Amino acid sequence: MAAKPRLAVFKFASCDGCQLTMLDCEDELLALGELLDIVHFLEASDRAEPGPYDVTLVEGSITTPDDAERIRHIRQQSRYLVTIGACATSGGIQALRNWADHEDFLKAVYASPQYIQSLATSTAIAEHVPVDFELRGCPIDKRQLLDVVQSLLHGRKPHTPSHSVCLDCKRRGTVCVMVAQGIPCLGPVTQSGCGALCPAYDRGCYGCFGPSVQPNLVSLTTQFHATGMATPDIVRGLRLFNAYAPEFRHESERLAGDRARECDAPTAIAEEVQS
Amino acid sequence: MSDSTRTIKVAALSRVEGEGGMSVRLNGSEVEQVELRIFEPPRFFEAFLRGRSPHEVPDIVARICGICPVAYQMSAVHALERIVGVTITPEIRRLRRLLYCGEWIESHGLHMHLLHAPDFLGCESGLQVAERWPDEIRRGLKLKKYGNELLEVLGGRAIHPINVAVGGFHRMPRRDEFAKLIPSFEWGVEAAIAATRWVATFNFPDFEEDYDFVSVSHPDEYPLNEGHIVSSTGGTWTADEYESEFEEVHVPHSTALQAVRR
Repeated sequence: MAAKPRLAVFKFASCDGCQLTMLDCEDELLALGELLDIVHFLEASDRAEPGPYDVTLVEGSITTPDDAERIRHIRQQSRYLVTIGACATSGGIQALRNWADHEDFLKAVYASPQYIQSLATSTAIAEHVPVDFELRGCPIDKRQLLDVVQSLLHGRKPHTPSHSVCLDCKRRGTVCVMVAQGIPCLGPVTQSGCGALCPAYDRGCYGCFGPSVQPNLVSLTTQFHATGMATPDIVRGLRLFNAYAPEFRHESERLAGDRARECDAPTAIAEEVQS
Repeated sequence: MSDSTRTIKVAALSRVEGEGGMSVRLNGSEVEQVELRIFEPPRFFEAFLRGRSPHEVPDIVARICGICPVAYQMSAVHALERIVGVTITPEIRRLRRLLYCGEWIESHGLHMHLLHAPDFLGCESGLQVAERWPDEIRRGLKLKKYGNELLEVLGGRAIHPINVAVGGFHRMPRRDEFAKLIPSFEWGVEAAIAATRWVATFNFPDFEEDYDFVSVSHPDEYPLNEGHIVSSTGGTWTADEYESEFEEVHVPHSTALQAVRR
């Protein structure tokens, strides 16, 4: 019998929720253990084997010099590297620092900021190393995770739709909260994946799965303005869990008239680590 | 004497939430110092919450932890409701407690079966425990799943629920959504007792220290959502007195602040 594919899970700056999605596959977990050799998954096991790995799942964003270095080693050891969740695919909520004064943030939280190693930016894994597949979501969806893992095992393309949440509302039979109730909703520009959850709970989508394909942000925010929403409220709405995803980022910057810090260049970080 | 001193370093602790390591310095067989090094990268929630609308706060703070988002959501809505002077109805209070129970059932199922049982049974993971105790792990996973189903009914989804709002819920759950959970929880009561009996057979080390344990306490119920702060050495404080009684200290080896009695 051929050896089972070796799976590794790594965490960067994140909340653990996307890794937990794997353990939330209560009905499938034992079967996954049969199919895969889980050789590195600190949240679930003492095994912490060195690479190479066949499939590596990466949760979290790059926010420290050490992590910028660590992801490169992980990439070298991985046949397929899949990023899971909004932190890994767009920098996460902690990317709000990209528009802020990093020193001020450090001082707001820590009595002794000099003890803290932190970059001025939080960035997606793909800004640092090549990524084979990005699985969106805050958190990711369990069915999509299982599909991605199975797809890699069978050498097929994952079935992860990139249409907007709007289509899922129509499918689900949810009356549009924006049209019927005037509730601002990011559904028209947000990628499907949650099952159009928020509108079904009488509230607007807040963009957990990041921008959909070719989203028309300008049109949507113009409509938000027309319904009486103030610019700062729209900017905050775009600056949540996928704030640094390019489409959301550009629109929030167009409206706010500010610019985020660019990703701390990987080469500069490498030099900082070496020195 | 330096030659009798040695340090045990654990680079990364496994089967815990978040990231940390540990160093234990021994002099002979005496433990001299223990350091818990939390190297979880800072994410600055306290900083970027400034200037946010109160309505955004429950969604944002959930992201502090994917394993216990409800804990953060509940603390946030309680704080915000006190600030703006909102009193919730007894029905909302009961539903919030139920949501919290869903998280506890899920989280306890996870911790007991997948995170902690391996330590007691000499296994590397819950999957390895399942090779020898398949029925116990299956039962634990089912309990965990039912906790998640309760979270889904009340919160919309299990990780980062979307239904918690200042003042209550975005949408009240429907009776039929609860009704379909009843058979699971009728099974769950028996299963939880059986799981507890199984865990009670584990070999717990006989280790007592002179700790001062601090917790929340409520006169009538298990204090999930509210209560007084109490200490095992006899102190009782309100939540408002937290800052005058406790201090959050920043130590060089950890990105997590350490709360200590003043």
